[in-house]
Amino acid sequence: MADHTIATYLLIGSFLLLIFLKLPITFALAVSTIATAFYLDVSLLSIVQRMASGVRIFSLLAIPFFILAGELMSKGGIATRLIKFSNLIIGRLRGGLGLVNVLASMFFGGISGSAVADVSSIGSIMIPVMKKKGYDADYSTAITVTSACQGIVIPPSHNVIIYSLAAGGVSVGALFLAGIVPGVLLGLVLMALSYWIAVRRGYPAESGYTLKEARKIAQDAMFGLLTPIIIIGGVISGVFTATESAAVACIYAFLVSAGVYREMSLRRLWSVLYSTLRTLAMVLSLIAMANAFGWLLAFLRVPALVTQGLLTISDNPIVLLLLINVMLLLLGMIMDMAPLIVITTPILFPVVVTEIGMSPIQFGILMMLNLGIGLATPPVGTGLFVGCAVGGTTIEKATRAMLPMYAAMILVLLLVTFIPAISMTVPNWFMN
Amino acid sequence: MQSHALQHVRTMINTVFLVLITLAKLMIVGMTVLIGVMVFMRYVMGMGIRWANELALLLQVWFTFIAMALGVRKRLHISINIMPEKLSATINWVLTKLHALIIIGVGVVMVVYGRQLVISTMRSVLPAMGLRSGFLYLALPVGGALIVLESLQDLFGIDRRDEWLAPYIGEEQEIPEEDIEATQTELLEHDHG
Repeated sequence: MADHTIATYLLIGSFLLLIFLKLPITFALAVSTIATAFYLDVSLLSIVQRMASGVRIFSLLAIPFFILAGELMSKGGIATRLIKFSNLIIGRLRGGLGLVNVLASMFFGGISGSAVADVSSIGSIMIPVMKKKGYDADYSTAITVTSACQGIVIPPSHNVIIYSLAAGGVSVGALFLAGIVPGVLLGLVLMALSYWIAVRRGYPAESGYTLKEARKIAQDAMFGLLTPIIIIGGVISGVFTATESAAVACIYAFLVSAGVYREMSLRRLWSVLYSTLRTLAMVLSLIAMANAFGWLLAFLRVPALVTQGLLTISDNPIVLLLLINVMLLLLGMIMDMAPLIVITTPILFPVVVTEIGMSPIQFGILMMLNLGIGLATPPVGTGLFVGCAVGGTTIEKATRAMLPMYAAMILVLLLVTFIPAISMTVPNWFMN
Repeated sequence: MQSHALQHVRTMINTVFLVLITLAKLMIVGMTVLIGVMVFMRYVMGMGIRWANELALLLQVWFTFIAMALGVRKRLHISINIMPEKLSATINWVLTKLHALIIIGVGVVMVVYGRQLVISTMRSVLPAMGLRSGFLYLALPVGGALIVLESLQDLFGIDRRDEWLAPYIGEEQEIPEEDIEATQTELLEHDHG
């Protein structure tokens, strides 16, 4: 009796209408799912159960652990140490602080995996210093915001876990390994660009450190940088699962920040837990609701319909991939990462993986890069908003300063899209 | 002037909220320690803890739905802004109330069907711990009820007096101010040295 076409329109249409009316995406997913289930005469009991079972997945436990480890490290003194360490390595080049900003984000990305945390912690230290040393405010903000996007691709990143689940269990270890080269590549391209700008604008270079200072700085940073090594090493060697290594990394991060850096008091731990819970508030309930929504999507065969639709536009893989990139970039401009991953992965997966034949691992990295760029673009870019607030500049100015950086990021995106070796070499190397 | 009754209700909601947030934080700590100990036992003592995963997942379901309510209170849930930034006050008012009503609706579904789910699963048990499955799904009606309470306050435009709670729940800046300043001074002065 219930017509599936009407149900599909109801599900998608009510969702789009509700998010257009600015209802939080989590609740828009819930309402359209409930309404469609009601229409299809599917028991709401099973829908509600699906919400709970959406977060009752062992590999999903890695998300709270990664977020907690990142928070522990960033509030426990790692950001300041990584900045000094980056300054030691690269500060003496022209425009040193711009390069330091990118390199520190690369290291920080290996610890936190959250672009927004990166912007607020690295940016709040670096931008004021850069401005005092004569860097333009818009440039300082732009380089902070764009370099923070590395964190999403460089392992470990909790967004990769969300993708792995949404794609039906792609190996987290392989995804982590696949992210290393594209993430570092993005960093190097941004560094080259910021060096070029620095030379043209005559930005200063930093002076060096004495050997004694250098040893202390390197030693301090190493303790923090061991966190991602524990996680990635644990996962690759098969000693731990991603979830277990993330939990071990939390305990390690706590010991380092409390014992070595001596910056973790009980009171600070309390606020670390609160900020972890804040991030989880948004991520986990979204996954819970998306699980119920995704079940109806699959039930109504929406992914198959989208695949058919895309294939009627073109069956040339290059055209299709470009089309998908443009689509993800545009969506990334108006929507945040986590919701896009949970909603678009199951829909695009059949086209990209089954039809075009791209490896699900490469597709994951492609998606992370696309959505990462979205965090730095107006009108909705969390990274951009935080950066502008920290840098005391307007979105218009920062965006204009970012134009060459967008070009650099899109260049990396195209390379990753069309050269599988960039993402796949490292995982193939370890996994075979 | 707001009535005493309203103040009592507000204090009550704030207390419930504070207790649940504190519980959720302790659950995160508990989960981390639990998985950490499990790994330690497996590799060092050579024995696994069979019920550790199950308990960790139970905790995760619980704090997901508590955090969902926290998200409603603190407006953490992401929405998208395709509409122009500056809308007329009337439209904003209508949207706020509409959102509150819809969220209340979702909360009610979670309470009503969550409750049924709890009742129907009370007879089955979680295999490793032997705990009744209903306790897992109890998170749904509890979270749902908290969501309803929070959005009711939005619907009626009640001031939550969040500033009272801030120190207890641990709202602080990302990185402590003194660390930021110390590093900045170092970077600035290093140059002249």
